[in-house]
Amino acid sequence: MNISSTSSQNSVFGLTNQTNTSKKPLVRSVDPVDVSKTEQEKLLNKQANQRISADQQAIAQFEKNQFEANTTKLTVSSNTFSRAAQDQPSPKNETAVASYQAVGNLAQRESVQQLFGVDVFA
Amino acid sequence: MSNLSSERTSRLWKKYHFFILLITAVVIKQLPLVAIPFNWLESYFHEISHGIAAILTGGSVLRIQLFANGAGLCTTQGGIGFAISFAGYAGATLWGWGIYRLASTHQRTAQGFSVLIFLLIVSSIIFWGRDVLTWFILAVLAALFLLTIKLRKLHYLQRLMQLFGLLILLNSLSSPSYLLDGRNLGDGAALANMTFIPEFIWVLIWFSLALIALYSLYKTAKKNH
Repeated sequence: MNISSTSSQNSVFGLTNQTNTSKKPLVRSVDPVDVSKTEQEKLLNKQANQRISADQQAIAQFEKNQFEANTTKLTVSSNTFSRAAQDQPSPKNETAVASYQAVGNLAQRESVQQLFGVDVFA
Repeated sequence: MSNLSSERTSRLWKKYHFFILLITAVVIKQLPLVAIPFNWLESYFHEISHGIAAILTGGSVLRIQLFANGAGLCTTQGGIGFAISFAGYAGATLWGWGIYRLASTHQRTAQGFSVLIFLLIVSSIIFWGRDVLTWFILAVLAALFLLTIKLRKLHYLQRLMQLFGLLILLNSLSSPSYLLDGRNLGDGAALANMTFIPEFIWVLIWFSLALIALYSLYKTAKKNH
């Protein structure tokens, strides 16, 4: 959740907004010391650079987190796939179940034949 | 000259027509695709004999099932089990013998009997057929008899009916031997369970009946020429 909030700040437009908002406190901090304009600009640039570098760190972290999230997603999906494959019975077992059911049906058919008095002649 | 040769052919036909038809039937039975509908014919008369025996002994027929390989099943309710079981092979022999004999008596009789069998097959489709394959096989058999009815020259109808009779008889001569497979399944095994008389005895009885029927047809054909 924190990462996603940073991500909005990291967008290009977010960056410009940030510099705009950060200008006001900067000016306030500079005014009392009475620094020259060039020095003020230098300071501003330095601050902006610092901000940008901080944002780049956030971008890097965000990218790292997103990569991690993607890899976990991939492993989860591959796990589910392998689990499904493990749950599938072997052809041998399937044949066994089928023959068991066939025997069950034959017995059932015979009992129904006896119940209704039906005879089958070949 | 041509009159003389046709007279000779006619005389030969009259003398040996039973053997000519018998050899034709044997050859047809060996042909891979042509033999299939005739196997169905024997299978149908076998199953319908079970059904008729069930009805005659107070039971009812629930379903007749025919398969492409010539196998068949008849599901009945009630009736006398012994008679129903015995009637399958014995009935098919009787049908084959009857068709040949009736077709030999008169051309009109042959036509009338053909109509009767056609109607029997149609009623089997309506009342006892329950699956697509059985309907299809019965429709092929009905078409076969319809073809004989539609023949303009009754002489050909008579010969065709005689051929059908012999084909049914030949099948009922050979098919009981399929029961001797050691699996204890089928009519022979059912009769063996009911009577404690071994299965092969029943197979022998059915085989003998078919052989007697064939011999009886030969004797009749010999008497007629």
